[in-house]
Amino acid sequence: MENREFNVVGKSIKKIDALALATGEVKFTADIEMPGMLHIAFLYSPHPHAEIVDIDTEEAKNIPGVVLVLTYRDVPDTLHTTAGQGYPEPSPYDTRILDKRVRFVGDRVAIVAAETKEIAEEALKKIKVKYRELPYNLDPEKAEESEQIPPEDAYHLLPTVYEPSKNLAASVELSFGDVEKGFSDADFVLEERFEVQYANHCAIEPHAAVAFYDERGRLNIISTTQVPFHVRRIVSRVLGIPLKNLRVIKPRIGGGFGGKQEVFLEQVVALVTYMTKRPSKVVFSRKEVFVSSRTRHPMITWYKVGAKRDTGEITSLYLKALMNAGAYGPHALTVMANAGSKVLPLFNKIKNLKFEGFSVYTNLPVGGAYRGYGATQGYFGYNVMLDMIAEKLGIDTLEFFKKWHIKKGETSPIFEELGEGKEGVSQIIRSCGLSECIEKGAKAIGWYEKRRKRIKNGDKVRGVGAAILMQGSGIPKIDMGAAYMKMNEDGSFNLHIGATDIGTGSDTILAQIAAEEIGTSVDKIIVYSSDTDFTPFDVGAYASSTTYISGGAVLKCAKKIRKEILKVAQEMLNVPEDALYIENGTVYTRDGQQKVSFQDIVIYSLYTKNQHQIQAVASHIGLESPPPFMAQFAEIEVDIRIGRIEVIKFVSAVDCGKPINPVLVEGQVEGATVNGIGYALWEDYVFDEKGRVKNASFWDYKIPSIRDIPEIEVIICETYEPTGPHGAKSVAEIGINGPIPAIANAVYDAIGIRLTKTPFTPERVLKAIKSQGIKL
Amino acid sequence: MGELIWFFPKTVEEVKDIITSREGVVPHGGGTGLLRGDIKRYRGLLDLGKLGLSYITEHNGFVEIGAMTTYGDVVRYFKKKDSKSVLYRSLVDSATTPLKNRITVGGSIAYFPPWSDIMGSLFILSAEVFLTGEREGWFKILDYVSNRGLYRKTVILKIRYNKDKDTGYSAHYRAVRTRVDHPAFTITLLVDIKDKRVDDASIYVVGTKDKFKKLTAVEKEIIGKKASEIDTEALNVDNVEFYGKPQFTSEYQKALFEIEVKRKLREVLESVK
Amino acid sequence: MRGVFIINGQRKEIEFAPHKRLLDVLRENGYTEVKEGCREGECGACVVLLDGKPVNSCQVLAASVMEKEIITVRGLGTIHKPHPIEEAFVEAGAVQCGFCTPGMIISTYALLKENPDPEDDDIKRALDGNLCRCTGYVKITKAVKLASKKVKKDGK
Repeated sequence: MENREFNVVGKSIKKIDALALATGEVKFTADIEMPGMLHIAFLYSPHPHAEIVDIDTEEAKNIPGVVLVLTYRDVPDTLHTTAGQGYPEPSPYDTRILDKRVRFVGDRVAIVAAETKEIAEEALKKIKVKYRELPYNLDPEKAEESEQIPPEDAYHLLPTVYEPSKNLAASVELSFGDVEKGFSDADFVLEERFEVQYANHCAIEPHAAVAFYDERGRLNIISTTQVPFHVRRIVSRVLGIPLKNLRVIKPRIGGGFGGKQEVFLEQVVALVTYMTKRPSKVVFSRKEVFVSSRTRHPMITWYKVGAKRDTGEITSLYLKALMNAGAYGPHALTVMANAGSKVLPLFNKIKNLKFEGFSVYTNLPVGGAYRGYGATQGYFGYNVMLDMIAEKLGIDTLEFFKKWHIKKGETSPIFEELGEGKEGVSQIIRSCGLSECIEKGAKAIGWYEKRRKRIKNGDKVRGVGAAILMQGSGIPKIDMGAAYMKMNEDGSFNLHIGATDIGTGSDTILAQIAAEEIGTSVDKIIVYSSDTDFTPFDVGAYASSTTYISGGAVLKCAKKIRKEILKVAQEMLNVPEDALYIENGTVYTRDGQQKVSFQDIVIYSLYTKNQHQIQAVASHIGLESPPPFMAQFAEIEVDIRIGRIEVIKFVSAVDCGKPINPVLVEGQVEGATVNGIGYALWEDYVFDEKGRVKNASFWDYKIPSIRDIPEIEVIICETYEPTGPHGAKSVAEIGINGPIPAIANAVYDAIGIRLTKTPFTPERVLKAIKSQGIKL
Repeated sequence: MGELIWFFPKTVEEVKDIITSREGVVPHGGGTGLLRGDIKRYRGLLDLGKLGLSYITEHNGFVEIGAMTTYGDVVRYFKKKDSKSVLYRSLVDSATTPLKNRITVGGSIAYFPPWSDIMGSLFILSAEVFLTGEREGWFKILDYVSNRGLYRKTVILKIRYNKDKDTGYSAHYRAVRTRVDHPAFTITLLVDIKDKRVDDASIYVVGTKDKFKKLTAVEKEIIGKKASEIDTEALNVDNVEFYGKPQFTSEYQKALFEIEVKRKLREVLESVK
Repeated sequence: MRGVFIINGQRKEIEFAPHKRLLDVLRENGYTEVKEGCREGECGACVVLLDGKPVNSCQVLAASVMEKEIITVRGLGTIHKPHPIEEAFVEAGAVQCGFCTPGMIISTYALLKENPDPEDDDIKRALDGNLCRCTGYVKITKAVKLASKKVKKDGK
């Protein structure tokens, strides 16, 4: 494929579902009500680790309106993972719907289904539970010697390191060259420990799920999911309901960010409906979202880097990552592995490199997928170390970045060695606009005017900092998406895709890809997505895959249907196929003599001769995972007396290949950036000594409001990715990775203090100022 | 547990009758304070919405504010009338726009949470509250907040303060994490200048271990001095203690308080020039 | 208890429990365009106009607003006849997941009624009670400015 002039791609078409959303016409999951619907509430563990010795539900059951009270004795005990990943999942099977042992404050003890949510909640208070408290551990660095957290019979489907008795949820090791020799060859060696914290996705729509039987007795599930097909597979297995009897529908979703790539409500509504034959619904409260859904995995990273003073060559790099998986292990292996695999290839000329990663169980809330997926955790230390090396070398950080970052035509051994639960896939970088991103971003932030200037205004000092990043585009040779299209009598098309639009605009993007290829406009494409009965398979919305993988399927499908259209036109006009071309919904002969409209073509194909449905279906897997690249820049001001950081301006310059829809690209980057700034400065879980979340509300877990955002600039540095649909790569996740290191590096630029632990709260910054001593 | 009963009195007499004769009945202003707790623990709610208590008037040298006047009403009123007013400065950044339209002046005085933005300014203004119920009449706000007897079985109907109290230079500081946050503490101050000298000063910090504190040491030190000659950094700030809060630890609050009180004071004194 | 609410211009007599919040009464009676995101007055997904002013309907006890006028986003426009503010949000790319959008639009409507030519700071203050996790607020700010132009043109 090659770059060319586009008619639909590259245009900021209005999001096709936006008006329905803006006018409030759309029903989200929680908005669905049905006659006779049961409402579900959960009883949660007040202990960080305990065994249920006795559980008495009699009184709760006797409350009028209570229909079902379920404990671990009443539900299928199938071990599974809630991670909505491809099969076999690279996450341990360590979870039951309900278990005799509870593993964190907020773990499930019982399920109540009642006529109203209020009655269900009232009933929770009447369930009497006797616990035997068990030793617990909140410290990932003490996991190995602590009481075993996962079930004795927990297991992993993949041949990977999994040692439940040591609370080891996963580990990976990667090394090439000779790291020790590399360090001894270095002129200087730098070491630092970094730490990032718990955080919540905070999609404004809380998790919800609905189940009901349709008129044919099939069990339907509607849920706030990023992964409808994985939901169907997991629910079928966990409940032992034949897959053919399940239908999963994703309606509009109020934001996901990875938090809805987890299957923990669907099996519960399905079970309640299965047992009662009545519709059921569960909607999480905000507190439940914080405590009992999924979180960003906290991680500690240790970096050791050696470099040559004359050339600036990094002779050796060692990274150790310790990830806190929480009480269960969804994504425990892959998020941790991504801290290496999505980070370390960026400086691909390092000859001696070692990465060791460990994921451990603790009695704390459960980690899961979260935009950035390990890269966010890994890039903090990586970019700070690069800034430190550049300083030591006495060169500008940006020059250092530009000299050593991976370039078009190059590769890294890490691509091949480290994948998602198995080896990776080797690839050559076919598009890379990172140097341009660095240059344009530097200009926008005013790098050369502001860097090392330490402009003072009273107690406030300004600085600028930068970070460079890459991510991936889907999981190569694993993620698959499929598309189906048919043509209607008016020349419009139905596009059915398994892909899951969670607010990103992927329905629109995929319609653009199809319209471009067919030679029509987006308003002629009727998109229907994410319904396991009516759309073909797709892994779902994760791993920055939809544009690249599902888009690839749509492109193939569109090519096929285009061919079908031309075939009919050929028959109608009696000319060879290569004599035809399509423009704006009409087929023309190249000699300009004849033309036939799409409408006439379909009428012909349906009613006139050789009657058939013009249609096509296609699947696509990514054979590679071309990384998008980004350079992010922060201009900050530190109040040195109170430690408060204010971000003045933030620039994100991105290479996502060909931007299919520039406004939607900007929207992804802006949203990710602000989420990243929130994570860098404010967002954090506060635990008490038992691991209770003390700030499980927006009242005390502060996410950025419109008044908290700096001036934000997004620069699209267009490239063309030959393996992507119309040249596109992914863009959704990458922007969340840079705010932490860019801000940390800017703080160093301003006041000479290295921050190594997030969030950079005023208290923490002030402490660092006092302990490191301010160097102005 | 019986069902919650609502009362919608149309006259002050009815209010008095209900609040004095019924147990477990609490006044309802905007409801935002009540909803922070469990609403079902009350037997009755006495709604003040039909008494015409949403107003701001000025007469006889007094500003009078009905108890049901919202923060939003106050901000809109003073934005036009007098944006230098200490009340305006205290409320303009407090809560969010939709919450401001529900939080009432009377409700927030009765509720008085540690994150209150309004109380410092009311102390400075020596405001008075008009009560009905077991106690009736005008009471000093300082008495009201320190005497539980005034709180029990009474309803705030209105507040007032002498306009002369609000003629100086004022400032309000909120110790927050993000801009939209409830403060760990607030500092409110008002300084009167005559002939370039500090004629009077009133400074309160709200959200301390004792709930609030008047900074008499600082006030004393600056009163009588020429504004331009006050070295705010050299001031001896009153000792104030804080409880640890989700926003900040007690130590940090103390450090922040000492810095910000000086900064705010300097900001005010510099605006004199 | 029973009470009348004037919702989107229609008088509705509704039976509801005395401790119910306006949010629940609205949602239980089909006004599901009013979203629940936190139930603590922090996210703004449930913002409606109450006698013309934006309030968090989760922070309003329904009994206290009987006989009052409530406007939800569906009272401003429909998919067939959208309000210019709704169009502006669509055109500016301010709608990603759309869950915060009804509240955002209500807040914008209230702002433009009071101040047809808002500056950046006015916009930030008017929308300070509406959290959005998708957009980073950049396109939302743009949408409000575009809406300001459109509303003036349409005279709405």
